[in-house]
Amino acid sequence: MSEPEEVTREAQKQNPETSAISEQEVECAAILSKELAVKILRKVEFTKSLVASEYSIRGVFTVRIASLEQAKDFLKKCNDQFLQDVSQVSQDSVMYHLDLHIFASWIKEVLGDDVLASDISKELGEKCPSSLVSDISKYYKEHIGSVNTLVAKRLEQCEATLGEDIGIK
Amino acid sequence: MTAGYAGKILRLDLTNQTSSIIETKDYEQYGGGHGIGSALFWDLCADKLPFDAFDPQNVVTVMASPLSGTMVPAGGSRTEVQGIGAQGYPTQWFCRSNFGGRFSGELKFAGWDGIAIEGKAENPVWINIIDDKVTFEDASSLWGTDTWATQQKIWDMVAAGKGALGDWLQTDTKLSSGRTTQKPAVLCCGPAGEAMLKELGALIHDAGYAAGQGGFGAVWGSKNLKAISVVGTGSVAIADPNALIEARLWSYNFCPAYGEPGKGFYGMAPGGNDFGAAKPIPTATSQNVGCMNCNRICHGPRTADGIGNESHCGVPLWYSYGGSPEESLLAADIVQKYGANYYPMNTAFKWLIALNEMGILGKGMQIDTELPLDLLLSGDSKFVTAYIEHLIAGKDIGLDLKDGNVSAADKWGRIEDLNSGLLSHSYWGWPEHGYDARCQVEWGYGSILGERDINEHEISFGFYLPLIFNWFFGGVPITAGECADIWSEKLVPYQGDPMMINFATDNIYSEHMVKLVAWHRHYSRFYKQGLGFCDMSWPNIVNVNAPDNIGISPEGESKFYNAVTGNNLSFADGMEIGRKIWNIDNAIWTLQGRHRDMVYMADYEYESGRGGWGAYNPFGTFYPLPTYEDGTWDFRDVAGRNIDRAKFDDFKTLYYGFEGWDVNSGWPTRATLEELDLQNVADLLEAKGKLGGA
Amino acid sequence: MTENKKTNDISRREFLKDAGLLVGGTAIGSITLLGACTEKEVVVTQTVTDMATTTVTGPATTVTSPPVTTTSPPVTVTFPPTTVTIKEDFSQTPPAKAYLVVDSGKCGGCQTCMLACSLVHEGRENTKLSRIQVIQDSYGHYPDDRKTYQCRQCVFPACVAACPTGACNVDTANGNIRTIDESKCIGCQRCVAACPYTPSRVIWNFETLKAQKCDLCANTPYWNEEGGVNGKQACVEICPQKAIQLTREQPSQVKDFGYEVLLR
Repeated sequence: MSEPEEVTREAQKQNPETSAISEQEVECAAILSKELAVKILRKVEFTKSLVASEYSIRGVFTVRIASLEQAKDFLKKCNDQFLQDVSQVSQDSVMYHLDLHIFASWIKEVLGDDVLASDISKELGEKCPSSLVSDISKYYKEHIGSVNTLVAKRLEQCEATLGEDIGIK
Repeated sequence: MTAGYAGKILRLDLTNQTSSIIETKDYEQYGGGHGIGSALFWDLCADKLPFDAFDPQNVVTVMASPLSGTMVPAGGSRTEVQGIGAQGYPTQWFCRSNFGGRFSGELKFAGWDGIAIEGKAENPVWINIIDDKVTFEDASSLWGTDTWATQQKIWDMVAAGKGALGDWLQTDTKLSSGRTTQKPAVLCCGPAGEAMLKELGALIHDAGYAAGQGGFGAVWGSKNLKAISVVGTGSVAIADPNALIEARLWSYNFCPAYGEPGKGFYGMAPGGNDFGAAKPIPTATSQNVGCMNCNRICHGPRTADGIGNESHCGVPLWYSYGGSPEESLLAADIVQKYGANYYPMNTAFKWLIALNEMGILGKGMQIDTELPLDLLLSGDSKFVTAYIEHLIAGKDIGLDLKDGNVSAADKWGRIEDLNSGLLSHSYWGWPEHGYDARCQVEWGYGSILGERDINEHEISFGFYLPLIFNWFFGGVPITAGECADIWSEKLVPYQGDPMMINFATDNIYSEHMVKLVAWHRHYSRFYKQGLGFCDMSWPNIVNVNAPDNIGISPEGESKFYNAVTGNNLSFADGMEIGRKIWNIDNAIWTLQGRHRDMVYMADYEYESGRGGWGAYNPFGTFYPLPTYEDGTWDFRDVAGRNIDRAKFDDFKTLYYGFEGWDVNSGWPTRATLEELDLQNVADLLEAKGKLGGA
Repeated sequence: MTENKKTNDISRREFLKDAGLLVGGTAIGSITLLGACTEKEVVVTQTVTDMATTTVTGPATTVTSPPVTTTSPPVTVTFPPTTVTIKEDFSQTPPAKAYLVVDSGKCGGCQTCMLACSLVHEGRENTKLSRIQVIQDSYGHYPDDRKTYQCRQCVFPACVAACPTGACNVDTANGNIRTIDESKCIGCQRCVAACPYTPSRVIWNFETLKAQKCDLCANTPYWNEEGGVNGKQACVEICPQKAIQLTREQPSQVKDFGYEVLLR
């Protein structure tokens, strides 16, 4: 499997906390078929699962994300790590990282959800132009919460679309 | 006899059940620990190489150091274990492991600088050391017993049941008989070692101190050696007591005091879980424990329910498939009791899950197994027990896995998984250890140029520094340029070259990186694995918890060593001893069949790229390191790059040349060995046709 | 003088827990020898007299060693009793002006305090010569897995009372520390046995054949620091967990209440 193609979508950079979500809601007015919802909610096979990272005192190891639900949980951990009181950071602390642009590509190409992928790309805007760690972490912190919200919303939409048929996912 | 040394090394002949004494003074030139261990191995059995780990000719050394049993911070507790390890695949290299706790201290108090174990007992034995009394004891009642029960039974046998939080125990009836309140320090193998599981067989001391990697538990199993127990009541001479205690108090400048805020995984305040005042430390239900003399007290806590006692670092974390902390701790106890190295299980389980999801391994699948994979997927610790039991019994796929994961891949025709990284064992068949060899190249290069994953964390702080601080604190309190300056000043004897820590892609095959790798190998062999300075104590070079961010090296090592021994060793002198030890190790590998053509990492190090999906890359998607690019130092993300095969090959040529080894074979040369006063090593290599040319 | 001699193995701790109350009592010392593959135990019986009176008899000591190996025979040694005279009146003993208190639950078990103690006093490292002892069980349940045993500088010092030569004394020049003048120590071990706590806080130095005990670092020939009640103590300074502290307030003498405190 080759590297994912870069998602290139022009987007106006706006306040990520508000505009992205409202725009997403407009986007999600698009018809979401039950068939598509099932597809989006499915657990993909191992070879299609997304690589994320987990850092702890024992080093860095990968985490495999095989569904949007798992992605939501991982993104929440990514987001929560920034919300904790630094005085709580300890030797037992774990850091998390997921490349958000690759994540958007994965949603589009593997899960087949063009709408969510597009919305995330819009939220992200241009890739972080710098390889400087300080810039990357700033960029990451700015966007991780909004992306997490987008994913959570999309999951809700899929589940609402399936309604009583939720079990078929 | 030089202060700090006990003066004698215990030589155990298991075959004939006899013990004898080797004078330490003949080996003091190697420092202690790894240096003496390598020299002993060379003298006792190198002429018989090659042989495999389970050959009775294999000599296993269990070495203390002149600092063991002293109050040198983070330097008084390590015990170095060496010999032909069972773990490597396809070649079982001469390798090392070590563990903390109180074994080496008790050994010194008993009057021994180390133990050399030879031969094979006809029936299971354990060794009882009470000061200078050494007896071979029948271990038939201990064989098959888990490591915790084994130690408790030995405590009862040695201390007549009075060893628990009790009274003074005497070694004999005389007024001059030694007394102790301490339990015997026991090192033992568990059922995994007895079953000679090559990758899993570990040695365990107390509840959570393990020589995990290397397969030395399996080697003990092959020798019918269940345990060594030691009680010591003697003293360790100190050349300058006041200098030692003052040095210890001075060292407290390099980590925050208990309860004070600290920063970073390494070098944080004692107690392990203290990062500030918000968390009650210790908790009401547990307290961390420390090795003898430690300044950091970082081992896992003993808990109110006794679950997970002392397990540390990755042991209580690795089995987290179901997200249940309790199951993770139960899994920690299981591996400690079986005496099982969790690292290969960590990579194996991920591999098994992947193969199962790919429809290759599971009930009724191509690789058919009855193993309850559902328990693994749910994170139930019962799977860990089932897995180890299968390997011990050699049943089901346990028969294939008992010799190691890569061996199993070979048997299953799935070496492709090793090449792709699905089975992440990048160095000599050893499992990945959480540091990306392609990014943090001194870890990767050092591992493949040696015999195992180096597992030396002190330099890894160069990676954690930007990671932790940018993630949690909003910025690193020191610039990459300042880091480079500090490193440059401290990397004696190669000081003055900041490019040694430039991890930019265009620098990772350079002569600067050659020097960093050489520095690290020599440093570790003498100071870390020789003298036993712990690797989890504090960042040695750049330490953001120290004044001006300046770490304790190289001033600290010499200060402590000289206070204990009375010698006048400079840091550079120690580095030269480290180089000497590294040359002996390479000579041993050479006799085992090492050649530069074999020195390459698994294919995925060269090909796997960055994260994404479908790639089996076991590494992170973000890997910050100090780099010098476009005329500026900064911390930059270097994740995802691959090692270039041709350039790495050129790097080997540079490296061998720098070490004074034969660039065509990687073998030591006479000129270099004689420069290091190792003529005997050169002579044996020459006699065996293994001496490198110029 | 009263005697209440017992020969069965009972806990010294239970029997003699409150030193000040031990008037006319009998100390039963049990010493276990290290050996292999044996559960045999040695009981040492010793008589200690009324501490307010002037004579002390003992120890009559019988020691049987268990076999050191499975094949070696046990050894029995009997020491004759002795009687000596105590000249001081301990009812007037002034209390020490400082005490060590510990938080065993905070202790990290590293034994650095023990090594510091031995280093500053003896000039060498030996946890067995330390006047503070940390005992722990890797398989225990917190907080019962570890315990720090320091000298209590007892208000009524049984060790001082038991000393036949005045070697174990109250050092009025150094804050009334209960200490041992090793030049006067004859090595009778009576103070070691008299300490009502288990393990005995008076240490038998089997290298010098003298008794020794915590002096709050008043006399540390190998450490260039002022110790004693107004100075520094090596164990306090060195403990990375800050689990040992000096207090100048007299702790409660009942059980461990005053000496085992929270330092968190």
